[in-house]
Amino acid sequence: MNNLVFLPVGIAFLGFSLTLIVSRRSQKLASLAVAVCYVGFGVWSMFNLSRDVTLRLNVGGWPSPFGISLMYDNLTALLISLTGILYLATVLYSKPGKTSEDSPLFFPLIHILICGISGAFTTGDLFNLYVWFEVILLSSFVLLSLGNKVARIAGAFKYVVLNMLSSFFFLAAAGLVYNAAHTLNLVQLASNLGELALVSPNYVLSLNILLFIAFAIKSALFPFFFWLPASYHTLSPAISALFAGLLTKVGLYAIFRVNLFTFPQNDYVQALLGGLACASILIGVAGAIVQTSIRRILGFHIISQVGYIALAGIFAFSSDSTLQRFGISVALFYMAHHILVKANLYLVSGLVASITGTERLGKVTGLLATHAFLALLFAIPALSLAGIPPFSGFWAKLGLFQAALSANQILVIVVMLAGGFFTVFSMTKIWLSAFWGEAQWDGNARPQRAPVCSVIACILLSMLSVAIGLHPDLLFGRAELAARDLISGIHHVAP
Amino acid sequence: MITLCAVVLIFLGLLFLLRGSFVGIAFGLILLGNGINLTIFAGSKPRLGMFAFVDRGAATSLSNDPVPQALVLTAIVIGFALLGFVVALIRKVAAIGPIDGSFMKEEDADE
Repeated sequence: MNNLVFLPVGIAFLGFSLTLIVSRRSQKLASLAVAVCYVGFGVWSMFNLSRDVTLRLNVGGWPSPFGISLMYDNLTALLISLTGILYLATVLYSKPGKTSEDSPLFFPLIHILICGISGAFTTGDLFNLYVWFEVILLSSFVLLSLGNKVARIAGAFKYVVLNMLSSFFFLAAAGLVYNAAHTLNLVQLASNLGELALVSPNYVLSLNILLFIAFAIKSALFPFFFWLPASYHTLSPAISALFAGLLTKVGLYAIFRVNLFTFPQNDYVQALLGGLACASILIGVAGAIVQTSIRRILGFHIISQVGYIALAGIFAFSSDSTLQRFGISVALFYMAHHILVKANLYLVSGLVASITGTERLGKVTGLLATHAFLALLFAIPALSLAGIPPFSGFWAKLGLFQAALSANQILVIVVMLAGGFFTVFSMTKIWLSAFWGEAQWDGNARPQRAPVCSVIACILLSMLSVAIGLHPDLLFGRAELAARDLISGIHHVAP
Repeated sequence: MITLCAVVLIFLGLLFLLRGSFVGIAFGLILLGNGINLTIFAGSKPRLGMFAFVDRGAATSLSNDPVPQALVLTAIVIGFALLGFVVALIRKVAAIGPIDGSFMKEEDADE
């Protein structure tokens, strides 16, 4: 049973090898089959495998600290399922023969990116986490710099340099952590660092902050976000959806797993994370106001949404264990909702671009009259992102409000309300200029038909958002189990 | 001695990074990466000239901890791959615009 831990990485790697061998035309079909297997395993494991036990595997039979240990708990299962859903949607959406997607490396790179993300979610070893981060980085670098557009290369360069700096921070911190605690296994680290913190609390705190900076760059928190709006809008829609949905979440996952629940509790880290989260919420929406291209607006909104998820920091060390668990599960619920909805918005904006030839607000108007169904596809995730009742975003925001209210964090509530208001403002701005009004397209761009596969991918994600909105208990139950494992797993379960 | 080298490398790396030219950034990343590798190695307090054993038993004074060396080895390999990519990217940048990067300042007008 424990050997199944390796399966998410294995399946994605199989997809990588398979798409390298098969002919160009069957690449998409092979990728689809692999992605379906991945989703199947993810959902099956979420409901059957890891409910009460955390699966652990020491690779090669080496005991830690020499061997690498993998683990698979409820949090991993939840994130693997979400990764799988995006994996499937992205592969379904991609239409070979357009811009960067005509590269024969396109599908293999998607698979190896998913392989890296799965590895980061399943590993129980700090240095192994670094290696998976590098797998994600290298594959995303190559995906970013496919093609020769000036804007894309310029964006890619900023992304590459800032993310390499983040890797250096991570590498230095991981090495220093080993030299201080003599292990890299997260379970053992939790106890060793706890002992070390009694002797030299400031050294442990500085290691914690060093790791936090590395992860904060990855997750685009407030002062470290500049690479994100510079690069995401230049990608092809499918890739930008995959990046927007998953890459920042890997950073957040690492913050939750390592900074909050492996290192000894520290009020300074909690305050830092809470403060940066609030700043990200406000700066993100403020940056979006002046933008005039759909995907640039969405890029800034990622920063503000990352802030909402990072609010988990203010509940993480709460002395009230009910509030602690509720706060973390709400944050994980928010993360799940955000992964689905944000990716969907990117995919739909890609549809708008492929139908009208541009995604600049002002150049494309009146889509509602000509493409009513496309308008519906945009409206569902947009309303969900803004937190309007029947959709998933409503429950995510409501939960965060409840948690902040019971923690008596009035300032946080004000920030959340302001962020929510400006999110509605941005979505309305896109809606009013792109969908409302008379159909009037710039120049001689002729309206094209949207490819069927791509539309199906958007429908799939929209339906999931509606389903979560109508029946939030199912996802919330999983998020609660995940929060339980996140809080207790590393501290109390023996390896 | 190793620590001093590491500090000098990191310092030079940061200096190059802040110069802001493409080649400067590449050199900065190389120096910074190697400086960090040396930091990890120095942090393990290596006994020079001794072997690294997994099963050290009581002979800790006669041997080195192998894990930091394995970490550094991994990091060197990954760092080299990243470096290769950055150099390739800089070549690509040089092919589409002036090497001083002035075209990166003007934000792209349209996608």
